Amino acid sequence: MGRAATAVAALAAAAIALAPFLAGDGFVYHVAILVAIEGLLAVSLHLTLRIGQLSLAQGGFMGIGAYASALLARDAGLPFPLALVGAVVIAAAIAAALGTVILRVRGVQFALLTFGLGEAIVLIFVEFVVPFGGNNGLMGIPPASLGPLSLQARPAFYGFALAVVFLVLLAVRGLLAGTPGMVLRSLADNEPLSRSLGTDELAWRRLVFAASAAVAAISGSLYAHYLGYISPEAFNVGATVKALIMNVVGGVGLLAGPLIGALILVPLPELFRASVRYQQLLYGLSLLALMLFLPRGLGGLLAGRSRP
Amino acid sequence: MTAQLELRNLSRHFGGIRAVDGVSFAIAPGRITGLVGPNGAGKSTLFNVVTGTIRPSGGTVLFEGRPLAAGQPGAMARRGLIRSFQSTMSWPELGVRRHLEQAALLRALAAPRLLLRRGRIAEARRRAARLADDILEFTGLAAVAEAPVATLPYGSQKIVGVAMALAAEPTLLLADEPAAGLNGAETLAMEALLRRIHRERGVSLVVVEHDLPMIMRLCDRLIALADGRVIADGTPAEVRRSRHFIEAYLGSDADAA
Repeated sequence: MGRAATAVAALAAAAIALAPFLAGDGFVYHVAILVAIEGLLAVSLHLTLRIGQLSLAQGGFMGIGAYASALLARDAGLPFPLALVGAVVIAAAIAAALGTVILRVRGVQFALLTFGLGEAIVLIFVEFVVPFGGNNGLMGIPPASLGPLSLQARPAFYGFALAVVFLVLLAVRGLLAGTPGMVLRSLADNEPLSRSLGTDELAWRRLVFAASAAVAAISGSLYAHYLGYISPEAFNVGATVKALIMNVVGGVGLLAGPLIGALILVPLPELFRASVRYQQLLYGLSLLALMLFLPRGLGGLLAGRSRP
Repeated sequence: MTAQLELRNLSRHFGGIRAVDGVSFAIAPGRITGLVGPNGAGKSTLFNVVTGTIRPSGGTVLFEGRPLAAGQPGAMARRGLIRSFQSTMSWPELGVRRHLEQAALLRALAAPRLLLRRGRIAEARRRAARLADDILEFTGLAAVAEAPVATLPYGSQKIVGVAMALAAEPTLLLADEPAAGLNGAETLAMEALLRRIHRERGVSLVVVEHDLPMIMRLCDRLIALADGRVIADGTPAEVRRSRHFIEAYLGSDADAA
């Protein structure tokens, strides 16, 4: 992208991000918050796609973040920011430990393995009624707040979510676009070469996998404290598949891709709400059309051939 | 003095096929060693086991007295055992200088924890740039430093493959068929480059090559493989006289050599 195009894209992104404040409508805020939360999950999946490994466990990591944050805040009495940080550390540590074993597997096998992992995580939430509440999930999760500043009102929570998305994007960009990104691209494009030059591929993949779990956990923590209630099925493989569709619709090769995808897919069902009977069908058909006519995703329209 | 590279009873089977079958040899530091053998003799498999790309079925590889950690491709490279590349088309659109810088950077940033050291990336980048300049000069690639590798003649691309390995600062360089596909003049240039890498940069070499005349001129020692076993080991003159070696090559390159 040229300088002018980048400026236009940045302005457009800012306009879209700030639009809910102008609309000032409760439902618009609600949808915008869900876009941010589901967009973060899509960004976490995007990270694993960048190392050429499709992880279907991201919904599970989002669940780990949600349950950890909820329990840390509700039962351990930690303030929301500490519960969020704790959830991120727990999810990243679990991913790093599991990654040492499962990242040795590649391709379809990795997708299947993480599918199993994601389902196992959800089953743990279902089976261990103490402390996870079983199928009923957890209720009475304290609303988010920053010190004396309550984030319970939707505009405040949306503002916070927006800031979090921005910071996450900066961090992910630092990982994918800079020198570490060069190492990761080389690993994805030409593994034998990287290996011959000494790249510790497992350590690099583990770093990205842990980072992806951290981002998923942020998404989960926001989700838990926004709704005040969580249940296991919200974090099953369906959530991950939705995040995958967001990546494909938005453009897999572009960092903004997952967010563009979330921006389209989260509100999409609402557009068809008038015709409830055909909602799912119309949703499916729109997806088909997007993938047929824009195989590189909507982001591909903007980005030309460049990678961020 | 410990051997720089030692193979002890190394073997690698694929199903019933013994691609490498009980190979032992030790290489002293500072030598140029040739590895020859007809197609299917096990040279490539041996290379892949030594570099840690595939696991051995049995036996041990020691580099500078320490064994190879199984299942850790890249570990040998981090210890200074670097292989050259048959294919240099990793980033076809990038220039030669960028290839060398990337190779040096990949080597410098092998493990992500190195990123945690403050200033490590900036330092690695500066060092990679210096190293790239030095190697461009050394290999005679300075004139085409900015040319995309895809636009270079094949002979120069092969030189880039060796130069990239040099950018990773090996103590032992494994050159994988450096002369394959090269014409007479290009082969001589490659041979001269390998000799200079050995003499002027103090790098030991193990060279796998089909071009027997070239490898016999280049090496102090030849190890001949056939059917996964060592059939001859000695100076090029000794190996050339060996009955097993002549049999393995009967009627082919042996006459020319």
